[in-house]
Amino acid sequence: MIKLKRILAFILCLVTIIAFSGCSRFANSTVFSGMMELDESGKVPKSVFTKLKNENAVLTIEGKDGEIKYQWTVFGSDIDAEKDTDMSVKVTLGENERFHIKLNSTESFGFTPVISVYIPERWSALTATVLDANGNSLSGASITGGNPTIVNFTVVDGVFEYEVKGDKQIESLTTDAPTTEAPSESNSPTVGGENDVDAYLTQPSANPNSGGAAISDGTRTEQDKYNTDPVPEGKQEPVEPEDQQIDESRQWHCTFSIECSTILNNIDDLEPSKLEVLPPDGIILKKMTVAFNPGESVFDVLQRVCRENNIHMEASWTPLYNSAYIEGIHNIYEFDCGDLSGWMYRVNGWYPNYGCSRYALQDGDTVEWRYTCDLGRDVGCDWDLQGIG
Amino acid sequence: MKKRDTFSSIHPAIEMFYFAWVLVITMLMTHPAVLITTLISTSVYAVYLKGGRALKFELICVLPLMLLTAAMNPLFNHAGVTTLFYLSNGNPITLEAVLYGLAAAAMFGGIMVCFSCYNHIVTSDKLMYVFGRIIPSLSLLISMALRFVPRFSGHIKDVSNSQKNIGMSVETGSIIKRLRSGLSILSATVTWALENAVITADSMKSRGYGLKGRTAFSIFKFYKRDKIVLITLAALAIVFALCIFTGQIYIRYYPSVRINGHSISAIAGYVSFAVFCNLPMILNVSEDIKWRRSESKI
Repeated sequence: MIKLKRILAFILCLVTIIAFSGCSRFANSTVFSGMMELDESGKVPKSVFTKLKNENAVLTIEGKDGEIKYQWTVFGSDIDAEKDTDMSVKVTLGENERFHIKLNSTESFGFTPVISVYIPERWSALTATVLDANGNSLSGASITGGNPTIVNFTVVDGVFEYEVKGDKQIESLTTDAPTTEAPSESNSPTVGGENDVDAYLTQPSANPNSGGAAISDGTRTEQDKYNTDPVPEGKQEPVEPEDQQIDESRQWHCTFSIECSTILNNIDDLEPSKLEVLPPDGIILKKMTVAFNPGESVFDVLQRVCRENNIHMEASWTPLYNSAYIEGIHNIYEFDCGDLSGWMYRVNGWYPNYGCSRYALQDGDTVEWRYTCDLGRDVGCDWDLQGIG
Repeated sequence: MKKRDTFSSIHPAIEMFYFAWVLVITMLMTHPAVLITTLISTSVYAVYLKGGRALKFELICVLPLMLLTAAMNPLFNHAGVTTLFYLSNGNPITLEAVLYGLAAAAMFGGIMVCFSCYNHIVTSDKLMYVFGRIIPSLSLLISMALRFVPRFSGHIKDVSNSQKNIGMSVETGSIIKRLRSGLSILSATVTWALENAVITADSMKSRGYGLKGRTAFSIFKFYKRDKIVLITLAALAIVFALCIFTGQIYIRYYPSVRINGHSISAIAGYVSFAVFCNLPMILNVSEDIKWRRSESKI
């Protein structure tokens, strides 16, 4: 019996040693995230990048230029060659929602991280354009946050100076400036010149070009039968998907995009397993023109666009609101980045206060699907300002 | 001849530990190797214990439920990066959801079979023996609750047989009549069950159950053999727990499948878990061999 015990003890020791010896191999398959702050010199040592690359991690690097905070999001998978890198920048705020940004580094990074600049004022622009020092347009930038406004864009390797300017928008609730942009082709000619509401929004509901949707005159004060609060004046009223006639003989076009750049500013809150599906620049679907038939809703188009571009999307029908609810796109689901996170849609700069199956798209509309980490406040949804929601 | 089960004769606390560990690991781990180990070893043990009855239970009861679980998950869960095809409502069926459904089914089946073994091995007197001192009222409650279903169905049979004699059968007559006689059987049984529970509680109380200093007769002794079994089980459990805590055995299904479990230490973990699960069978088989040897010597 004593002999048996000895053998048993020996086997156990052996097995335990084997179990421990393999510990170091763990950690190769999961993505980790971390945060660091830039010191005075702004230098990020090579060892950080090596670690980042080896662990396939995501690192947010925070820095400050005077009062202006900025933040880099670096994906370990992007890094090819590691070296000491100066990641500090100089930000000069300009007039009319623009700023100038200069990287202090004199050699290219060798990878293209996203920079988020925290502008200490509220911008009315919905998107921004990134220009190089010569004024050539490089790319678009997404705007998140309210105050401070956060401008996110991907730097171009080898370009050290950028000029970022907020795009003029179609219509904004926070500014009274009338729009100067020409209405799109399909809009009816009956546009009131002195009206500061955008052109196609004032079309009468009887117009065959309305896709069956009426425009709110702002007189409704009660909720409708699907618990939708009154739609602000000049905005499109909801339609019921079961009543919609889809006119397959005609084709309209809209601009469609899907992005989740707010996650880059809240990466600590993100479910660790989702780091793997997070696009490094936060853009899931680049701005693209999509054809659709009159009468189709935002949901119909989203579903088709996702399927055609092989983007994962899950929706569930909610009878209470008579609309589909988007649970997740590209495997980024509601509540994946904090308790206040989820998908929202914006049409022509306005977040409709009803479901996406009830928004009948118009020709020339701009639809943006955006991921919020703060009930919409960080993606410029101003329901609070309107007294709705 | 009914087979003798050696595992039933060892100390109840060890049996409890065995079942608790197997159940907890199966519920917490969704790793395929772990689930398959549990499913196969508990099924083999159930068949060894109960013969064809267990096989029938597994095929008729457990297997359809497993298939249902496996089919349900991908229908309601659409997360995952690998889209296989689309449902008519536009949501995708993903490979990850299918795999998770299979894992959930294996877990479900493993747990059901494991519980059927548990019910056979850990009788209520063993349960009372282990927990009677620590948590007297709860263990009485658990043992009464576990006894409730077989007793209830047995009593229903008795009542319906006697009702049949006075012409109140649930098998003949119009639907209304059947419903009425069924209801009277149910009401009689429920009344009996409630009264019975009160009587049991009172009678246990009158015998001083749960009082300090009260002793209870038990035939369980902690033998040297039990000690060896306990040490072996504990050691195997520790090895496996180390593998889990160090991430050697790890699986994640969403959004894409990530699996750890190819290292030598992970294989050591699998082996330790497999030996753990099959320990009752190992004991039984070795005892059978011993028995046969001594038989042939006579």
